[in-house]
Parts: sequence; C-alpha cells; structure tokens
Amino acid sequence: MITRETVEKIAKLARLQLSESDLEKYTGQLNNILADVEKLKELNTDAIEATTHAVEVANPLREDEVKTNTVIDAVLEISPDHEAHFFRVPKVL
Amino acid sequence: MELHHLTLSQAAEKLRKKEVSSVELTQNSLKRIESLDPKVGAYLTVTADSALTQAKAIDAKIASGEKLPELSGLPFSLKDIFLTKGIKTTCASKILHNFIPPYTATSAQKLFDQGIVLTGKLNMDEFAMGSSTETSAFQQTKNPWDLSRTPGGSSGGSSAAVAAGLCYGALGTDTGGSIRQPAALTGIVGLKPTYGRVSRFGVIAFASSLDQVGPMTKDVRDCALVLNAIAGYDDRDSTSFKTAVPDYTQSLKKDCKGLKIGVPKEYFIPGTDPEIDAAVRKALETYKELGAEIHEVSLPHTEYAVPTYYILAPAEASSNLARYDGIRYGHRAEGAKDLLDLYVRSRSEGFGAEVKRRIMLGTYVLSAGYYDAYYLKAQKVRTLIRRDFEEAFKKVDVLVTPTSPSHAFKLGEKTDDPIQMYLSDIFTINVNLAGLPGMSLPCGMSAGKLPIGMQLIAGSFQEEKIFHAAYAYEQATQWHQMRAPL
Amino acid sequence: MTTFETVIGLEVHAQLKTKTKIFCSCSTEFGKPPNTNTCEVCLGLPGVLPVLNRKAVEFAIKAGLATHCSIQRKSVFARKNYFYPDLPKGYQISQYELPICLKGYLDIEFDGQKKRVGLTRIHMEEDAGKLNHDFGSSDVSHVDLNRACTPLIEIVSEPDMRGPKEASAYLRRLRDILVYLDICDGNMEEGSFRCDANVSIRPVGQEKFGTRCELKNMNSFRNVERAIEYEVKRQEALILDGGKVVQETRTWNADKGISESMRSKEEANDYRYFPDPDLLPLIVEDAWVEELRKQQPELPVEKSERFAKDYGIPPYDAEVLTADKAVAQHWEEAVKAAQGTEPKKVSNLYMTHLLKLQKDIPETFERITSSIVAEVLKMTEDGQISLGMAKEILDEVAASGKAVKLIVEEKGMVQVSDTGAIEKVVDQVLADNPKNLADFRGGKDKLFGFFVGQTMKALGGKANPKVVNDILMKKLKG
Repeated sequence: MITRETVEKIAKLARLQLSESDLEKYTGQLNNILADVEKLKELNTDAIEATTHAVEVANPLREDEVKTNTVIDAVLEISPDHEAHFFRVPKVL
Repeated sequence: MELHHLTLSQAAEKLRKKEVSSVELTQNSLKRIESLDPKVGAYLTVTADSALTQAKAIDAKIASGEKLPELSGLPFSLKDIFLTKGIKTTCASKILHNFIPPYTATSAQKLFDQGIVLTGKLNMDEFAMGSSTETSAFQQTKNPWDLSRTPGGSSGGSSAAVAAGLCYGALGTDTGGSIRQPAALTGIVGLKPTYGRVSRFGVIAFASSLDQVGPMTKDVRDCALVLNAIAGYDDRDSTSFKTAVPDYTQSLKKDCKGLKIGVPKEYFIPGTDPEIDAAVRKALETYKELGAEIHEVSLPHTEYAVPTYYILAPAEASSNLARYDGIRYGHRAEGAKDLLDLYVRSRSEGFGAEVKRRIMLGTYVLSAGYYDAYYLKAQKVRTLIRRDFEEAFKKVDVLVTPTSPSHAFKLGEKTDDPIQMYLSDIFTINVNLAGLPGMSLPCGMSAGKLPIGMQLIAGSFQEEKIFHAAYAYEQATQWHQMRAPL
Repeated sequence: MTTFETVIGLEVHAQLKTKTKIFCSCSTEFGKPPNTNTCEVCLGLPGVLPVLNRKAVEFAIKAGLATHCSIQRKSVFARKNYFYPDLPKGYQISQYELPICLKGYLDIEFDGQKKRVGLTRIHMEEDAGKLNHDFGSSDVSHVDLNRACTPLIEIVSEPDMRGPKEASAYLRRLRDILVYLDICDGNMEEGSFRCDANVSIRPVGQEKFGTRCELKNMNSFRNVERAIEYEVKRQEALILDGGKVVQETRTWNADKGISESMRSKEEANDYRYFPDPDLLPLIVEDAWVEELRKQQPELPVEKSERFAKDYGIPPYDAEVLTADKAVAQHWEEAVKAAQGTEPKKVSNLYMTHLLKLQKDIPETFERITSSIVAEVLKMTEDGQISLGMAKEILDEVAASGKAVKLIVEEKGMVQVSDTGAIEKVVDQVLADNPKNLADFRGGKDKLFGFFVGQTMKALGGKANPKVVNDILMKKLKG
C-alpha cells in the first residue's frame, strides 16, 4: 500500500504540487494500478534477462566533427526569462 | 467521387493527370477544415497560408514539367507531437502552449522533402498519454462517425482528420496503441512500424523504448507510400535501424496462397465486444478463401502486458518530462519566490491530471527500494512477452487479432477510471513491448454504424508481410471504401 | 590514546579533450560567449536524442588501458534523474551498473615508498552546464550551457590510500597519465580535472571502515592535501570527544582553511537510475581495444625507468624530467643533439635552470629548442663560454627568442682560454698585491680565492676558470 505520505514524497521528487483532493485521489488510483501490477509477481523471472531495448544491436557511434548550430537564438527568443545570452532563474543558493 | 474522399494515391493520380492542381486540393481541404473542424475538433493549428504557398510552388514545378515524388502537392497533417520549425508544437499540453520549435522532426522533414503540403497540427492526448484524446489541454476531438464518441487516442486528431476527409493522410505516434486503436475506432488504416524503422528524432518523447512513428491513411496502399517516405536510419536517432528500406508497395498482392496466419487464442476473450469478435472471425474466413492457412497459436504472457506497460511507460515518461521545468522554454509560473517554487508551480500548472498521474507512477516505480520489484521485474516480463512472439513467428507469418476490445466509446465514459481506459489498449500494448510492427485496418461495421478494426502483427522488420496480408484482405472486401457521414 | 588510521578513496572527474561534446556535435571550446556552444540536443529541447561520440569512447578506453583496467565488451548508459538549472534534460546520462572499465590499478610513489592503489571503475558521463551568480540583479542566477554535455570520465579508486600525501601522489600520477595520453588537459584550476575525496578514520587494527565524509571543491593538489588533513583532524577530534562522524558531503573552503557541511543545502536525493532507452548498449569489440593498446604511448613510469637506465641519470632526475611529456621529449632530443655531452650534464641544466625558467616564461621550451640546448652546452664543453654564460644566454633566448650567436656577439661573451693572455694578467695581479702574495706563500691558503677573484675581475669574467686556476696555482707557488 502506498500511503498519502509516500505520494507527497513522490510529488516532491517529481517537482509537482498536488491539492488536498488530488492527493487523496492519486493515492487511491496509484494503489489500484499497483494492485494490478502485483500480478507480475506470479511469474518467476529469476533466470530471465531484462529487455531494455526492443531491438538489441550495438549503439552507433558518431565521428568527432564539429557542426555549428544556431538554434540558441530562436530558443532565447521563446525562453521565459533571459539576459545577456544567459537563461535566467531565481537565485540558486 | 468527391475530392475529399480520394485516397492519397487517387489524388496523386489526378494531380499527375492535371485534372486537379495542388492549390485546388489544398483549398478544398482548408475549406473542409473551416466548415467541419468546428464540429470535429481535430486541428490545434491550421497552417493555411504556408500550405497555399507550398501548393503553389508544387503547381509551378508540375507546370514546368519537373518529375516529382508521388506524395508531392497532397494536403497532409501531423499529430502535434512532431516538431515543425517555426510552427507552434504543443503536444496538447499547457506546458508547451507557446512553444515554437527551432528545428523539424526527421520524419516530418522526409515528408516535406517528398513535397507534401502541411495543412496543420492535430489534437492528441496530452503528451500522448491517453486512449481517447480527452486528456488534451485544449479541446475535445470527436469521432466523425458519431460526434458524441471518441476518435480514440492518443492520435485521435489524426484519426478524426483522415476519417472526416480533412486531410489525405496524417502521421501519428504509437506507444501502446496510439495509432492502431484510433485507426480502428474511425475506420482507417494505421501502422505502427517495427521499433527503429522510423526515426524518433524531433518527436516529443513519451516512453522512449516504446514510441514509434507511423502513417494513418484511408487505405493500405497509402500507408505503404507514406512508410516508404519516412522509414530508414537516421544518424540523429541511435535507436533507428540500418536495415535497408524496401519499396513497400511491392508487397501489395491480391492473393494469400501459402500465407500462414496465426490466431492467438488469448486475444479472443469474453471481454471483447461480440460484434468485434465476430467481425475478426469473419475476416479469418475471408483469408481462408484467399488461400491462407489459419493456425491457432498461443501468446501465454499476454495478460501480463498491461501491468508491464504501466510500469515501463510511466517510468520512462517521468524522466522524459523532467525537461519541462519552466527555465528554457514553455510555460513558466509567474512570480516564483525561489527556484523550487518555480519548478513546482510551472510543472503543476503546465501538466494535466493524466500526465501528473503517470509522472507520479513512474517516479514511484523508479525510486529507491522499488526499482527491482517494479522496473526490473517489468523488463524481465517484457522479455517473456517478446519471446512469446518469437515462438509464434517460427510457425506463422502474421497474427490476426482485434485491434480494440470495444467500439468508439462515448466521450467522458472512461475519463474517471484510469484502469478502464488503460484496458482499451489490451490488444495493442504487447506489440510495443515486443517492438514489432502492427497494423489496424477496417474489417467491419457495428449495427450502430461504428467501424471495427482488426490488427495484423508480424515479426521484427517484417512490415512487408503485413502489407501483403492487409492489401489482399482489403481488396477482397469493401470496408476501406466506407466514409464517415459528414 | 587511540591511534587512528586514515582511509581515503578518490573520485576524479576528467574532462576529455574531444573536439565535440559526448552526445552532440557542438564544440567543446573553452571561453566562448554564454550558450553559443549549444544545439537542440544539449539545450534539452523536446524530441532530441543523444548520439555517442566515438572519440570519447576511445579516450575512455585509453584511460582504462593505461590504468590496467579490464575494458568491458558491453557497457550501458543510464539516466541519473535530478532537477537543477544547469542540467537541461532533468537527468544526466552516465554509466551506472555497467561502466566501460573495471578493476585497474595505479602504482604510486610518495616519501620514497611505493604503493599500488586499486581502481574500482572508470565510467563515461556528460558534464553539466555552469551557473553564474555574480552579475545582474542579486536575486537571480544565470545559466550557461556551453559546458553541458561535455564528455567526462569518472575514475573511482578503491579506499586504498592512508594519508594526504598518498592521495596527492595518486592524483598527480593519474593526472600525468591522462595528460600523457593526450585525453585531458589536467587543469585543476579550470576544472578539467576535478577531485572529490571520501575520507574516514578507524582505530589502527580495526577491519571495518569508519563512517566517511565526501569532500568537494578542492581545486589544486595542495588543497586536496590540506582538506584531507583538516578532515582527518576534525574526525579524530569528534570521535575522541565521544561524538560520531555523520555521513555527509562537505565543501572545502580554501580561504578559511576549513571544510563546511553541505547538509543543509542537500535534500534527500533519490536519483532513480535506469538504463537510458535512447542509447543502445555500447559494444566495444576486442579488435578496437587491441588497436588502441598498440597505439598506447610510453607512460611516465616507463619513460622514467628508461631514462635512468639508458642515459644513466639519477632516478630522481628521470622522474622530474618525465612528469611532463613535452619536457621529457625536449630533453631526450637535446641529449641526442648534444652528442658527446654527458646526459647527466644535460639533465643538470634542466633540473637546475630550465624547469625554473619555464615557470616564469611559458614559451621557454618553444624558444629554446633542443638543438639550442645542445649548441649552448657544446660551447661550454669546448670552453668557449662558462656555464654561467650559458645560463645567461638561455635566459635571453627564452625572453626574446633571439639567436644564440647574436646574443654572444652582443654581450661579447667570449671566454678567454688563451694561456698567454691569462698569464699576463696573473703576473700583473701578483705584482699589484705583494702583501697578499707574501701571506699566501707564508701559508695562508685561503687567499687563493682572492687571487682567482682578482684575476677574473681583470679579465671581465670571461676567463676559463679552469685555466685561471691552473696558472695561478703554478705562479703562486712560484
């Protein structure tokens, strides 16, 4: 069982703020979903390798060649707060 | 036939014969969007001006006798998950309500290179999380067959636009059924290619190991044409595959002699609507008549797919959606008192309820102490599911199943019950987990005049087998000629 | 009183000298205007995907080979999830469970002792951007993502070191190796070579490790030593006082000479690592490793041993000369060019003069080429100039880049070895100082120096001292 406190802790980790009623609702819903997930415990997977990728091949590699890119100008234009070509955020202590 | 009812290849034929111009096709599509989309709600952005400019340019090339690719000059739309340089791309989320991308997705660029005319960006579930397009932060999309019902999701704007004849084809994305289920619910063809067949670069990520781009079209030939255009290795997507891309139209054959069709018994279950069950069984009869062999097969781990998916997809999503932090782009909360406040409020204001639910679930299953019990376990079960298919494809060429257990449901019917909503992907999720290609194509009509879809599944990079089986069936039946009564 | 033993393990982050970032094709050039070395990938825009830099992998393998690690055929990139403004994607791509290199070692020397320090692993990861807190309004910070996505290797040692000196010896050796391999510029001040230290203490004889603290923000070898010394004292005092060491991260304040707890600023982090689905497993074929093994250059230790053996110079000289690859090469070329001059003499010139000169004039070894060293040494061997003059010439070359011949002419530096000329001057000196001469002959040997000085002075310092000595000795004794 996930408790309300766990849900609050998870929300904090995910940088989300939940209203009182959302907290209540999500606690219930997450418990329902995880109850379904319990079903997986029926399977013995001790000797089974995990699938991390649908297609298992070697990762391609890129050559070390510089490509110039100027998207930053368009990004700064749509950014919520910028100054002197920096993104601006509230003071980080 | 009216212009908007044409398929991509029929419209292309008319263009080639100069019976119609690209500008006329485009104007016709734009007019239809203007008059019908207020009812359907498929479009988040209509790019009328740039579409007409593109169409004029194509017409000029045609007039000058230039030989153009087959899709040139045809009005086409994209799910609003594909980044389009200079054209607002929102992923149907408030957090990206003002996002103008500085670059274009590889798959979209490939279509532009073919000369398609982009008429707009289509509604979807927020960040593709949903099965009814109801989680969109902006509007509801309705099923052109019955405006009180869902067009499916998450690519519901795409399915509705194609089914309503607002565009000739569209691209969708499919993480757990998001192309195939809406295609089934709106009576069109939708293909989720093999994972790695089409580049994901420039497609807003939901669950990276499951997401795949695919065509949504009126018939199988159109689907092959679009896949021809978008498939292939992309050096900006490390998970795209280097295998050569065949000409998929070469697989469109009318007979099925020697084709081995597998019928997985786990997909024919009491929970499925009897009309759907019956329609798919009838399709199997048609296949027999076409010379195919039918074999029953078993995919024993089918029932574990939904819980497996509801660990893996949210886990990846929780990480993929961490970049929406209100710092570099997108929604930023006003008057944040410090950095933490900026993060929390920007994200809480920007994300909708379903997205938050999945971020929470994903964060939880990855958090300290739970990783092995949930995430690792799910990855192992994913291996078992993949092996089921590998075994089945040792015996048969394609699998035939229903696409969705139900017809298009009423808007609002499942919005309060996430689990019910998740179950509408019960027949499609396995295919994503195994990374396989799957197509939905129309195979019937309910008594209430709602389309029914069946799903064809093949082994990795065996899209040609799907095209073969789908085209043969389509040509032997009339379902692909149905048009929504709009 | 309990005696304690210090236990130290080091985590080093080394920036790799690739032209482009680890997952995108942006330049890694230092010192560009903010956010100009960026693209959609390292800005973390929606829809972007990482593509791994082959050179970064190659450099990681080279580091692994040089530190005797086993290179893993399959390694996996994972995501480390946390929110911070310098981390655009909200996660850092880093190798976690399956790193590229495992189980190596480094042989170090300190205070005349030799020791082998184990390496746990070397893994690859992307760097974060930088935050600027120092301009504009006081309630904002500025984010620059030029450094974001720059390739790093993290080299994690075993807790094998037992004191600050060992730790800094290990760091220096590691840095020398990376610089030799030409994969990292090793600059601690600029942050291209950064070190965190895990420090704990335990009573001598106890098997179990004590609770450790992680020290950060030590940007020089000296500070690493100081910070560890301070931390060890702090922990000892704490335990002797009946307290307990709390596991925490502490930041070194070099100005105050103390470490400060970062606990208040640290939240309970839960990084939620999982394999990055955007990158497939990295497969390193044996053939690639073997090829890189063949290309591996001679490393400092090997070179130092070879110099001592082949050129017969003292091991200490060999070690100093080989610490910097460029200096070692310069020296070896000078020895070869100065055929006939003893290598020890060449070594002396570097040890006593040129290495110091380089500290003042960074262009020293560019302006003073190996052949100039050889030329000048040859002139001293031939007695044309004195060693003092040689040094003066080299100083001038380093400062101005002028040709040796020109300097010699300008300064009129010709050493007088002509015995006739010297004899004349000596005769004059003896004639001018009859009292001293009488005293010397009466047994005041010390006065020999006086006569040498007078003679040299009269000759303007240009006389060959050996010739002067010989003549004086003969004439003084009468």
